Amino acid sequence: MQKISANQNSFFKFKELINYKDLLYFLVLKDIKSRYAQSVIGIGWAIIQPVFFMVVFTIIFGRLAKIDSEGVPYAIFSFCALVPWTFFANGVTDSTNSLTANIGMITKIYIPRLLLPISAIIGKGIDFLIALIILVILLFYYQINPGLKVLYVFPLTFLLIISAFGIGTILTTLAVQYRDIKYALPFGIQILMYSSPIAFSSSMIPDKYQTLFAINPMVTVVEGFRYSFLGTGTINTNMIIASLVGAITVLLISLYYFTKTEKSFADVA
Amino acid sequence: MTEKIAIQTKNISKRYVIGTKNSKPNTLAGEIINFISTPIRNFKKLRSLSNNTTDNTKTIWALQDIDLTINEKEIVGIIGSNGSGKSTLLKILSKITIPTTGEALINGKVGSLLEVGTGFHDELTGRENIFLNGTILGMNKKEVEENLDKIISFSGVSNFIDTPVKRYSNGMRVRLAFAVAAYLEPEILIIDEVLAVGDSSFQKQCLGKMDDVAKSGRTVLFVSHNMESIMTLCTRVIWIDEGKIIKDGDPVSVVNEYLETTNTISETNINLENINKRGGDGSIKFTNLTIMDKNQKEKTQFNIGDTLNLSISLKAIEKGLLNSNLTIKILIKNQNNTTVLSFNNESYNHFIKLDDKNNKIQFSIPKLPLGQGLYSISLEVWVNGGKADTVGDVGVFESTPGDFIGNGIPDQEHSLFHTNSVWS
Repeated sequence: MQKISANQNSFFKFKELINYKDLLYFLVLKDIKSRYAQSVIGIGWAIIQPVFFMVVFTIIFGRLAKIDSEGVPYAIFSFCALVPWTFFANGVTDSTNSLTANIGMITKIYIPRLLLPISAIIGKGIDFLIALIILVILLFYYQINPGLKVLYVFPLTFLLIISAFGIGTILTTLAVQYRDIKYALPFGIQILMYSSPIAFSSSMIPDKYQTLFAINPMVTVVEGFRYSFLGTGTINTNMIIASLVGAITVLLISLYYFTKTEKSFADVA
Repeated sequence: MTEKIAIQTKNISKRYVIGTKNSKPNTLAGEIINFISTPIRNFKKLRSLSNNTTDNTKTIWALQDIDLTINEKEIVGIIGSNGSGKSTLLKILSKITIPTTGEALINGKVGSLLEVGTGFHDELTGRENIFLNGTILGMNKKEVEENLDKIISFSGVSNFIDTPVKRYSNGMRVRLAFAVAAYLEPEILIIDEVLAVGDSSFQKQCLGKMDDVAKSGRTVLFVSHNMESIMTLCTRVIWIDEGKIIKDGDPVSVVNEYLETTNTISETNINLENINKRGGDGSIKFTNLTIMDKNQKEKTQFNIGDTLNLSISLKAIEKGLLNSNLTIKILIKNQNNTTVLSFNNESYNHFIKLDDKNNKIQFSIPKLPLGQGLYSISLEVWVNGGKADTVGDVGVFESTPGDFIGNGIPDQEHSLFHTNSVWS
């Protein structure tokens, strides 16, 4: 017996998501297939974006501005940061647009709406895996052996995913009602990129601004990726735990806000 | 054995926020202040979409105190004019939107079909879309796989099943989408008017499938304007108007009563100012419709072949708006709510510019081609590309046997339409 009423309060319907796991699979498939349909290079575009940025950054920041890359070749220094960053930027963008791009699935049928931002994140996860493979190839090319530190990548990737999902879910909830989000997002992402240590190293930030700088969840992720693959940068377990606590808090808030607002999606969309 | 309850609703009401047109300032200073404060006003307006505003002028009750008990295996038809709240009720029962007050209890797995082909993606092949759409409708992968061959053959597009659907014709898309839905096997099936698509042979196929579904012992809730299919398929009919249940009972008597009240001949001179059910932003409103014969005499009974004259009056909230580029649409519908004739001034290259004094439009059908029966008139006005006002089924006239050809012999054959023909 199901009950439909105005004052239903269920926080997070995990069981329902499991019931719809096949739909999640096909939504992800749709995401990937439609993105690369009718293109010559197809999934190759997943590689081109970070590689292109790597080349541009290497020329501008590495060669011209001569930014310190802490003893490793600038190309891999920046690529190592671009791999998680590209996932984060595209994941947040896609999950933010996931509800407004699928209005029909909100106003004409009931599905657990959380599947839409989830599938957007998973879809970008495939690109992330491909970019990681390129990173490993580059490590071999530059003969860099990360050693056991590489295991840090697992908690860092977890941090990366929940940060992108948490932020994307809050923004997509807002975007249903306020389309401004969609227009503000591209430059929000730009600003976040320049305030993350993608093109430079966080040791270049003066000490008194370090705390402020570290509020950005991508600082830990990017510095952590460099530490685990290249051995540069400063990262410790405490920083990762602090960021994880922050990201999980954001995620819980976003899930609460999403489920609370979900009831009115069909009326305002 | 007592019958089991499938759906029970208790005092369900649903309120929507409607847009209200802001009055515009007419000074430059006012215009500047207006421009600067626009974001604040927009924000308030957007926020009010989800908030519970108590301002009654900006809200509309789409449903009011709906109490319903539907037993298992009942095939229930829901009828009512456009905007009466039928679709809102289906949306609440499908969990798409929640009621403002009241609650519904649902016993069993619900499958709802408010639109054909929800989630169809152009770049995916027909086969991939079957899986995507099937899982959206609530099936799992295994259920789709089991029915895949049947779905493909029912759709009749098997040759193109591995082609992206963007290469499909409109008809093919609809057939494929309906085929997926046809194999949905929930305990409770909720269907909005989706059968009004496709060609007639496909519609027959769909109705046949609906009949199978009905006989297979499932509970079905079914909205339609097609009274014929309502009467053949349903075991019970509910008539909703302005968000309330008007009548609930056996199909023949409810449908007949509905047809009687909706299609009685109207007055000849109809005041449109006080009609509540209307669309558009309200910047221009219809105020009057007069139905007349060729001598400008008010009349609602016409012989086939007679001249039908309409005089339509409008008024604008804002001064000078009537002087803008107006598009007027006139729709004539038959008793099944099917639009049989549609006119708009643009396709005749006739530009309508009015002002506050000269606010009447004259429209004429020189030779009424419609067969015997009752017909309703709906009006729409668009200004500068935006919909300003719509009123539905406001005037009703009757077409009686007449001499269309003009040979002095009244036409005795029953046909839906009349037109001139050439013989040699």
